[in-house]
Amino acid sequence: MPLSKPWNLSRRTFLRGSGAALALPILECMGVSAKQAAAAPRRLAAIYFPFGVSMPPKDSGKSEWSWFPENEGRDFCLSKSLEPLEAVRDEISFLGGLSHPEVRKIGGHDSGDTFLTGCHLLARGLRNVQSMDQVAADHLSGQTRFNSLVMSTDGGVGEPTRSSTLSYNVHGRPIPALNQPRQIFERFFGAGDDGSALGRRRLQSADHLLDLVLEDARNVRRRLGKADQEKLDEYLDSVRQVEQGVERSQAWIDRPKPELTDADRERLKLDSDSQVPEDYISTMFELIYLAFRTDSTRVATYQIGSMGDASSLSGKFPQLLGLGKNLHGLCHAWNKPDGIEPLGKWDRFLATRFATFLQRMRETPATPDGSRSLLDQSAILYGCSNSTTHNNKNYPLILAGGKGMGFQPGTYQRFDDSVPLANLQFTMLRQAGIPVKSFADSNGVMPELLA
Amino acid sequence: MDQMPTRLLRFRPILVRLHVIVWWVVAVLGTAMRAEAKPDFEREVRPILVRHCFDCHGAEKQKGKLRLDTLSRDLVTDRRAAENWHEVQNVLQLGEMPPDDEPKLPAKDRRVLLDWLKGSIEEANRARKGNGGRVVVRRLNRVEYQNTMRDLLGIDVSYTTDFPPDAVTEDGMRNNGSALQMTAIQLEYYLSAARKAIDRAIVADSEPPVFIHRFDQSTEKKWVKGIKGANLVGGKQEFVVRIKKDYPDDGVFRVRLRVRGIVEKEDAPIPHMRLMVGYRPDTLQMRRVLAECDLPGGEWQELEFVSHLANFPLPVRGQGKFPGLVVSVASDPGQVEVEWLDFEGPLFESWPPATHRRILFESDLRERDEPAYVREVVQRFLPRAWRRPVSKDEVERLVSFFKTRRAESPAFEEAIRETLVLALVSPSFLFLLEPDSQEARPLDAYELAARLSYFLWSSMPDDKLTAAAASGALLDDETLRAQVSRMIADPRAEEFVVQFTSQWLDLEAAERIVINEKLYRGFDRELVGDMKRETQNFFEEILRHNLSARHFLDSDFTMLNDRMARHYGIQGVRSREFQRVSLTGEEGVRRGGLLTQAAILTGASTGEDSNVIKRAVFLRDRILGDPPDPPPPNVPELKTADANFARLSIREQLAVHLKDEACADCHRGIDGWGHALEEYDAIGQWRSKVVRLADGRKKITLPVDARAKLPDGRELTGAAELKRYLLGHREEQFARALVKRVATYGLGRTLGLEDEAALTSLTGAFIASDLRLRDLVEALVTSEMFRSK
Repeated sequence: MPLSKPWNLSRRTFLRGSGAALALPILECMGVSAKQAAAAPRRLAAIYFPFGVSMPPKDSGKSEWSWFPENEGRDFCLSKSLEPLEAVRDEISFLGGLSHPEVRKIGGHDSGDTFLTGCHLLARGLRNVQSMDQVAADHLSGQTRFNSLVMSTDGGVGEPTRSSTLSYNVHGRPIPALNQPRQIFERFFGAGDDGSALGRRRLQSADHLLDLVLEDARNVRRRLGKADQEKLDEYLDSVRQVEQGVERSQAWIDRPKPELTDADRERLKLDSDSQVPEDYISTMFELIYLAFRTDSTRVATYQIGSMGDASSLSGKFPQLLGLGKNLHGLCHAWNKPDGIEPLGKWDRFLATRFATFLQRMRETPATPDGSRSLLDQSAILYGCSNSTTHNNKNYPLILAGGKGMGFQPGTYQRFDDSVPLANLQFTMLRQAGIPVKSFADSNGVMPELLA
Repeated sequence: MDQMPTRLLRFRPILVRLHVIVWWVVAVLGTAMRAEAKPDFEREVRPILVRHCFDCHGAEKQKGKLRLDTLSRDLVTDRRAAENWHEVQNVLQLGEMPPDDEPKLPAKDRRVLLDWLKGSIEEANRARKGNGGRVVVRRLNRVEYQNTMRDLLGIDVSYTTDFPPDAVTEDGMRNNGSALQMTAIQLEYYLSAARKAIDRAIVADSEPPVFIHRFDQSTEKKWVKGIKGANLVGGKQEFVVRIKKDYPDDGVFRVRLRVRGIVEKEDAPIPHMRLMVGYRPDTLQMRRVLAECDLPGGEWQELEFVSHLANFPLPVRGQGKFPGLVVSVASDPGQVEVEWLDFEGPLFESWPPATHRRILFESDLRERDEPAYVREVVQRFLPRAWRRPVSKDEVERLVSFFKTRRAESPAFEEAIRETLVLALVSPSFLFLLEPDSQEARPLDAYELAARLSYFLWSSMPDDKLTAAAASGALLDDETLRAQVSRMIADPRAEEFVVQFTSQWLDLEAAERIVINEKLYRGFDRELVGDMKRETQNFFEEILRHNLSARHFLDSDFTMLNDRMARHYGIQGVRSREFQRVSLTGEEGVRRGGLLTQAAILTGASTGEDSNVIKRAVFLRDRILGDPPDPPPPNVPELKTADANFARLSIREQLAVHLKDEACADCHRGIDGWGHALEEYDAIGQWRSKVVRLADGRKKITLPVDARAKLPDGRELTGAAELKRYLLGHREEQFARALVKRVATYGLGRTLGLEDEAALTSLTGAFIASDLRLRDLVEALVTSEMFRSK
């Protein structure tokens, strides 16, 4: 969606940015005609579910519930588990054998935090590193109203090794995920009052107010011990980022929030919660779709469930769907005779939601001439950091969309252990136009995925 | 690995503890004194380790990720080594190492090891004394923010709806300074929450119209979900009134009504009235409860309830099928009769309301000299908001901000609102700050007041506590004790009860379980709320009456209402309100202590059956303070392809696991604890047989088998014997575990090695006081650890 006027970040904002990593891309954007910058935007999304998928043992006689397709290449056959994706088979690639090498060294259920970061969490004292989506979000900062949309079913950050967010900022700190559909909707599409006279004054006031708060915090910080200073640094970073957000809002002040149609609204179940998994997960997918369609952001993550198991709201999804066990128990039963089918049905349930989302994306043109769909202009990673539960090799992964970004979907390809998953994430970043030289422990792009 | 619970799989983040305290000085090393009786490592300790430990924890194997032969013996500078040796001390003390199938450790050798460990650990503690164990600056969590805003502004509405959930630590705490992070999105919502709150507190409009209605009968004959309007209320009959247009959109309102309970028979349940407000047809949000109470006795009475409309789902005007504000009265159990019901709102004693005048007080200064007036306003507001005296500079900064805003704002109110908002997004409001803390130091009186009130009330200090801080009296033991007693007697201490029990015992677990209705026909989801309330009330009873914490292990009473009593098969409880019930008779004795309360048993179930592992882990972690180790990184595949697996008893299923040595190693220390609780089903009811769905449909029946072998080799059967054993043999361990939980919560930080001495002394005093719970709270608050930074 083109902007009506070029936008110029004030020099002040840019100088206040937190370091070179952030300042550089902004510099690149300064003074560039917005129309040019926004030409055929490219988007990235990552969808995660926990505990692995159905991979029936060979002798079980239930191979129809295998998550991975039969046959590699373009003639892959989907099993019952993922049949709903048949409708979009030309838009998706299955990737087998990939995982984060560093993450193979830690407990299977400790791997959720690092799906998009790839680091050895435990060796780093549980400090994560910046996630792939946030690398993109920082580079694209300012081109859309929101840098990113970070969602999960549980919301917040959870605890280390049981994270309830996929996204980590430049300092490796978890970004709290939003989990209330209505709140997300209001944030992205609610009318708000920024445009009113009072709203304008408040934006101005916030700018001034945050300046003072920043000063305050610096004064406080000086009087603290070292560990406390670290806590205050989190606060200082937050103030700076909100300030940038305020400046951005000022830049966007004359643009109303995007209009949605009645049909859009009907699809949204904004008051649904984790008690109603079908409605809730569909609505979360729909919110990503709307955020992308309206170019409100170009980066989104959604963690459908966390590895928190007993403490995760997603734990009861399968039970609410009549599949018997809680999610963790369901996945643990992957190799038991009566465990295969329920787990396959769970995989299918998720795939159904995902397929609907992809279809929505495909139906929506993303270029004025209609030659490219929203899906073509988005690269979407869907998967998990366990294959079967406790096993963090051979991640089940789908890369969807991206035809307009140089990807060539529609195949099933397998890789060996020597290819780090970060290569895929690096490739996604590159194809989204993010000028990075590598990501995590990547050692190259994956040409197999490109046209 | 069927039914593997979270706790078991959890990596115990030793490293988290590590980075909390990183700055202690190496200089003290030289002064570290050697403990007198400490055995020599090379000569006495090492040979024992070679004989009994290095095979599994040495160069060849590192079970439990632990390697002892290369582990540093410098506990003073190597934190990781210190934590590991501490762990070794634990397992030796508990008799869990060496495992049963290895040669037994002779008592003499065990003694040598323990002496060396004790000496080394104490040495390290001494070396660190005065530097470790520091409270990290801590952000208010959701609950604390909510209560603080309520108490600061005097308006009881929700302030935190948009806040993301707070981080939780591995031990279940939600008030841990290190874990509670600040991020941009949080700050953004702090800003918008503060603006919404101040917009409400400072009114700019003229006096709004007041609506008063009286209803002698229901306005609705038929209502949603088959409800019929009536004056005689009970079952599907409710007193339902709908105010179509003439009601306020915001503000405080009052409902008064004249009612009586219909009591027909003496042993019939006591009528329980529920008063509900709100209905939003557009979002299908149903009404919320304004108040509920028992109506015994049968005589007419007039009741009055006050609340804020923002707490109820109101319809968007002119939208939906049933626009209007709906007030309804229901009764369950029993019947009540409603003669009339009044609605009045918005309620204010004068305009502007008192909450406004508390901040913007009446003064002619406002007309004469606006900045001077604002200076006065800020001087009054800021110390309350920041929980400490403020400097002239700090006041002036806000006044100067006001002046700038005033020049841009058409109205005074807009500028003063922004000025107060500034105070509420400042770190001095959002964090519990205890500055100047490069060195350990005693807290000042204001810091102590804040720490205390967030401990017991999860909120800011009230005027009395602040006064005690201002006079400095709070620094005396006696005043401090008196404040603790006063605060525990105050209704706000309920927040401690709710927060602490929820975090200690993970009471929300029961809400995350879906009960299989094929197995538990007619199970009422609402009962889960009652289960939680039983445990909360039980804790509260013990706290308020300063009873022994031994009751948590076994007790001759619990707290029940009619529904919970029915759930347990206990007779004679007629009220919906919770009351103390003596546990006698066969059903009664099954319910003593926490372990056999329904909230705990349900939370550690699968929703279909008991979960032996979860229950065991709960006991070890939450009750004994000794969570089992996480499983190894690569859990081997189990041969569970046996078609009959689902039909095996849980003991037989677990036995399949135990065939694998990697699993057996840990499970020996776990399973027994859970087997002893097998007499209770997934919803915490007593059972004589295990009923299970074999293939999702077919019910199968197995006998109950509650025989248990505990890690120390002891064998027992059932919960009653388990409780006796815990009281007889694990009391000290339990006491220490509880002390640690309470201290962790009270301090808002993870406890480390350097806190061991303080914990030991608190535990000693706790045991000496017969484990009286309020004494423990008092002892903690008056301890050096609580009173210093």
